Amino acid sequence: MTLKKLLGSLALGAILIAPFGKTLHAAETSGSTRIKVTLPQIIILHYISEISLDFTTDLSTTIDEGSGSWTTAWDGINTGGTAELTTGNLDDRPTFELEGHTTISTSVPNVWAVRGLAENGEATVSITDNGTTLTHTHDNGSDTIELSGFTISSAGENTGTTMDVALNGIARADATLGDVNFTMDLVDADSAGDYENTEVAEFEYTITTVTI
Amino acid sequence: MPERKNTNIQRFSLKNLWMFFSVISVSVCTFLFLEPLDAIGAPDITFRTNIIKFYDMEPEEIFSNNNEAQSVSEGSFEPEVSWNGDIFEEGLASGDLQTVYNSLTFSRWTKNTESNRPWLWRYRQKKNEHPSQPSFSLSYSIEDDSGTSGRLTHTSDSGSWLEVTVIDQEIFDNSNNNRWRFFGYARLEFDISNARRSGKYQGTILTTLTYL
Repeated sequence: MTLKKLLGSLALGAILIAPFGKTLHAAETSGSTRIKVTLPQIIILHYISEISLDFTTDLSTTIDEGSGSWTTAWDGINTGGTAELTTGNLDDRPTFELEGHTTISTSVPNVWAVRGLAENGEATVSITDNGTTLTHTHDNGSDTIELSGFTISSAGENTGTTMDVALNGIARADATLGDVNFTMDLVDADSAGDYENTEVAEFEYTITTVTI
Repeated sequence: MPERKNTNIQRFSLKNLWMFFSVISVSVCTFLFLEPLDAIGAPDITFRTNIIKFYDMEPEEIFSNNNEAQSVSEGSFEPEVSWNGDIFEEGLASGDLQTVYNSLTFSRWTKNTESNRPWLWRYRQKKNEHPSQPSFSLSYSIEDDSGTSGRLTHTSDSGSWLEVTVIDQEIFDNSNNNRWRFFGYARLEFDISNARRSGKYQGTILTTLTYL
């Protein structure tokens, strides 16, 4: 077979086969497109709106103030002594659990939480001390407990009136929890009972959060 | 001399011209065999190459109001406190926080009403080249800039990402007497569960069109 005939045969064969090429495989084409979407800042503050501290342990004890001697006349009148009890010489042990202080500092754990989205993933949390007084009113008047020195902390760190915390997104399980710390002054708390804020719509402290 | 010259031209035309056409025929037919027949009148398929910016997520898409800041009262807390101020009970646990949001997802179409582009892909073909309505299938895949499938990542924090799923697609038939014309859209659903930051999230959508 000459070269001419060979090429002619190949051409004829290819022409006959060509129409069936379509069914041999499907055509596929693809393209990539860049996509963007923007999320807004979101912040969610959870807070305990009412805290009632319960000093459940009643302070009740007896104090032995020691021995004393008195000179007693035959008519029963004391004429002298060395151990007469006065307000000045009472043993301070009835308040021994206060360690001699009239103020108690406490930390109330996990009374606020934040979560959400911010540009750098954090928020500033701050606390405002509203300077209120808790009052106990009774038949003989009223007594008070002063609250002061409000600070916040989280995971035991950064105690202060302002701190930056991670928001960790919107999932509840990843929320950042925090504490409130303050001092109670009991110097004017002379009666047992409930001490509460008597000012309507007045709060002891206010927590504010702002995304960074 | 002139006769000799004419003789040479004649010999070239008769022998090599047939070989030339034979080779061309083989080449053309081989091409037709390897490519689908549609390549003769191949459709004009265009994928959107310039970036698609979806409209920003609005707070109302996950909250019941359109406020990006939410505060949630978690009620009261009555812990016991010792006289030295110790409180061992915790007010809030992350798992007990109120949910607040109604949804963690939002969706967008790749068209004008929800992005800056009118379509994601376009198919055009002359009807005289393809008389019957073209049949094709579509598939979509999404990945972030590091190649992780099914997500968009924050532009400055790869640890903050959106899970993205194509939940719907639509083909708009805009054919006329002369041309088949189709425009394609995809609807993407964004899950913000793993987002830590506000701002821009980006990635790529790969559209694959298979036509038979």
